[in-house]
Amino acid sequence: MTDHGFRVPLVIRGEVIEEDAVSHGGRGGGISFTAPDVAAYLGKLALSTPSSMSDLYALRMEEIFEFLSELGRRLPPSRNPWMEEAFRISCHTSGLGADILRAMYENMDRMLDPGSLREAAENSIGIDYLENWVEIPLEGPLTARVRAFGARAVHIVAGNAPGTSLLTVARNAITRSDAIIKTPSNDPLTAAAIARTMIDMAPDHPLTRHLSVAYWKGGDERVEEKLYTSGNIEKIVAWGGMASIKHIAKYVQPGIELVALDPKLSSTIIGREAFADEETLARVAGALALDGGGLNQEGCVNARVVWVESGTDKAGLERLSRFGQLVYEAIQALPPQISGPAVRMDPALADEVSALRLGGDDWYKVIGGGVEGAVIMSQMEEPVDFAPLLANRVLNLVPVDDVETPVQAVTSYTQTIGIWPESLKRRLRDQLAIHGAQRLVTLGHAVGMPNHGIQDAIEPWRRMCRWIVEEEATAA
Amino acid sequence: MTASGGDRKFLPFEAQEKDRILAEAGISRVVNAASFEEHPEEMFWQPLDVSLSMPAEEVSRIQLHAVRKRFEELRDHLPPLRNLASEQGITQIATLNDAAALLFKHSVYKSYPVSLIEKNRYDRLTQWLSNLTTVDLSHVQTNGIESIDDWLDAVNRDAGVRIIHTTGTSGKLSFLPRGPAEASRQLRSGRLSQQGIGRPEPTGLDQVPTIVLGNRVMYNGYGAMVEALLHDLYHGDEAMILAMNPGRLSADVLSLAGRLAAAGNRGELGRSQVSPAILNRLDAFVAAQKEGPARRARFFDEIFDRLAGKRVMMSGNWSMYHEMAEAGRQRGVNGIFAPDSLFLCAGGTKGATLPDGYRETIPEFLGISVLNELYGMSEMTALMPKCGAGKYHALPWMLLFLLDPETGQPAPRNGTHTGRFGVIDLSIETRWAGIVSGDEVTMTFGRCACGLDGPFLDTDIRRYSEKEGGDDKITCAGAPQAHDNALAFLAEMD
Repeated sequence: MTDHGFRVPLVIRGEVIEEDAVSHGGRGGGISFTAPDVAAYLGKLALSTPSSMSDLYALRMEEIFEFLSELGRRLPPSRNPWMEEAFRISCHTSGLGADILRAMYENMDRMLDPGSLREAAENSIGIDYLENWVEIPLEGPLTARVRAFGARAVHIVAGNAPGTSLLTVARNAITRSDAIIKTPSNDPLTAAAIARTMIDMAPDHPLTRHLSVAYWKGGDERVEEKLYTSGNIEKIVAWGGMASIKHIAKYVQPGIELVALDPKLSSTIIGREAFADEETLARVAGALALDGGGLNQEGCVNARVVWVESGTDKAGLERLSRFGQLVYEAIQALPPQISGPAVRMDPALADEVSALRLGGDDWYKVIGGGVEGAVIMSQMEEPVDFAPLLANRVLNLVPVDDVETPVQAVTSYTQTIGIWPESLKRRLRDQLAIHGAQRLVTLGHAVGMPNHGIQDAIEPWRRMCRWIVEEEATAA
Repeated sequence: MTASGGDRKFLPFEAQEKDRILAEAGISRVVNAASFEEHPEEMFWQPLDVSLSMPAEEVSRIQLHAVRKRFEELRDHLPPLRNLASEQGITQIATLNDAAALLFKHSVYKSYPVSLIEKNRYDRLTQWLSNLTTVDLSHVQTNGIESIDDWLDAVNRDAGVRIIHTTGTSGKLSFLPRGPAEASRQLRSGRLSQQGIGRPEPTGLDQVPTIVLGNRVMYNGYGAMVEALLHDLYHGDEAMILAMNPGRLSADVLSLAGRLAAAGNRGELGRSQVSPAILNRLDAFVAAQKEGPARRARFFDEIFDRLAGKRVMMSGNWSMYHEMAEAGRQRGVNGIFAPDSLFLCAGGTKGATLPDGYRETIPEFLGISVLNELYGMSEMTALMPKCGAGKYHALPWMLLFLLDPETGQPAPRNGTHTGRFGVIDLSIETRWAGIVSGDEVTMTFGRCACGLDGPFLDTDIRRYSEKEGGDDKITCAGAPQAHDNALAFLAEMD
């Protein structure tokens, strides 16, 4: 390892702080970095005067889109040393390979495309509500006017893909909020690099002056007990694992709302029509490979357990085997900027897969199993016992006689379900939603994030706003 | 054989030796060193000091022959070994380190679908287990079995296979089969461990009661030893075993608590979905556990009262001995047992922080000079004793490996290295006893300061699992604690 000794700055509303650095170990990759001790800067970091938010209301939404668009142009690492450094450190810490990361960083400008952001803001909040008091006629002698205001929020962003930091910056700007981004140890630099780019671009701009980026070790009570009070913030937006969300929940109190982007897992349901002919089967396998192998299966959106209506009798299991082979080949054939061999194998998962391979074919058949990934074909109507560990491009195909079986397996922890064919999706959608599923997609489209703003039934855009109503009594 | 006249009370030496063996099982005996290559398990029966002082070169020669033989014997009977050898491209073992590629990961012993237990398919669980042992399990009666505990009893009763299971923090227990061949050496293994380096082989143990700081029935390494003591040493006399808890360490309790906790974390399952039959048993266990503190107090009162000044035997870890010493301190008791009592201590402190000076105060409380410490795991039939220089020494049937924690590659068999501990226990005949452990050790191939040849281990041993998430080690000593935690968890669930 040649890269070490990274310095992660503390950015507070346009000011870059590098003093009082303390050392931190990273998550995986064996990197370490230094960052200023946030506890020493809490007085500055917390925005205890809401009145200082008013500068954001002097901006028109189109100016915000223009600002973000210009920021986007400056982000690709090929022309931005801050982002180049963030990319380099990610290569050590991320579960994504360098090719995938390079493509993500170089294409960050697309995430800030004004057309795309306008669509997201319009669909999720409504630009009128961001710009004006929108009149809502009511029965009787009352008129209501509603406007979406920004909030002071701490964002605990996830480190599995750098896009989460950029998305947070964009949402913060569009909702006219004040964000303190707490960066993760497995991506300690991306958010700070974006903030520094904003400072280089427009140091006194209100959008620059309402973004702070800090690293502290999650759970550091010296920081969190003082920062997470209703005098300092109104929202906590937390991406993260079970432990992290449970930990943060203890700070939720009257005056602080938790927007929890909880840990989720996704799955797939494939109807019997897939076995109509070899060509169809190959097409379905190709689409599944995208859902399961895209982004190296690092995302919550990725397929893991795949329910296949192949039948569970001998002929059904043979059909499943044929399909498994095609899926394995399709994953191996994915282009390197989308998917590649595991960067860091989860040893617990690798042990489980190897034990299944040694154990014979009675309950599970396994294709592959090294860094390249694997397809495990259950020989009964059940996923593997270690299904929550599935990653590193390991898919578990589960044969079923009836699609009712996967419907029963859906819980509130099920995020995306890719379904083929479309007719099956329409047939199952109400039942799946009632059981807890949150996003039903055409097979092969799980990894995208379209601009409807819904995101796992959480509606983070809307919930980042404070929805304020003015009521006017008209004379009778 | 008849003795004449006044010589009546002195039998000829050979007969006297024979009588001693008949009277007391597990004692060393005359063995044929020429048979070790073909029968490495025979080394078990030579005196401990003889085993330890075998030159490293001779041990290596015996081990190379023996590991080839075990591999060839077992490969065609155990599909996972055959599959592993074929994956690794190994058809023969040219050097000792070649065999490192044939170590099982622990996951091999829990590769069954957990639904077999949930659906009471103990017939199929038996079928799964049969891939891991050469013992014929076809006569195991599983009809009507609805609990893991009953299945463990059935496999033991019908096939003589005593399963060692994990404490199962994840809810999925590993099942490690020990066959009748290994059971026949269980008592011997205990005696080797109790002896310790540099002390004479203990005798007269059939008159020495055993204290068990745990349950009377346990399907773990500790419990297997208790059964061997009862049947082979005490000839079935239950009064010789003083267990703190007369009940059973239930595999069902351990498994269910872990499964419910894991399912709860995923929002999938609550106590309402557990079958009433299991819940009834659980409620009985929970009720029994509530009496735990009072029972512990009574137990310590009883042993301090009845066994003070007597010679006793006990196995445990530092935490267990500490608990006992604390109970003694509260009662104003010290130096309690006879100085020729036999205590063995394995498994370290089990994560507990013990007060300063515990290494002196605990032996003082017990009434002995030094507590006999060993290193090992339930996958092995005997433990590695600690020498005067403070190192744990391999016995000659233990083929040790020091593995790179990432790649699994074995370190050269000379010098000192730190990495993952791996072992093939060549004394085990009915199972492929090659296993990768979860322990980080520092291992030396060479001569120890105590004068014995290695390989030997430093005492500083640490678990990798803290980094890898979840500790599911097969343990003897930690199990009662895990059982208590499991019951506490189940009692709190609604």
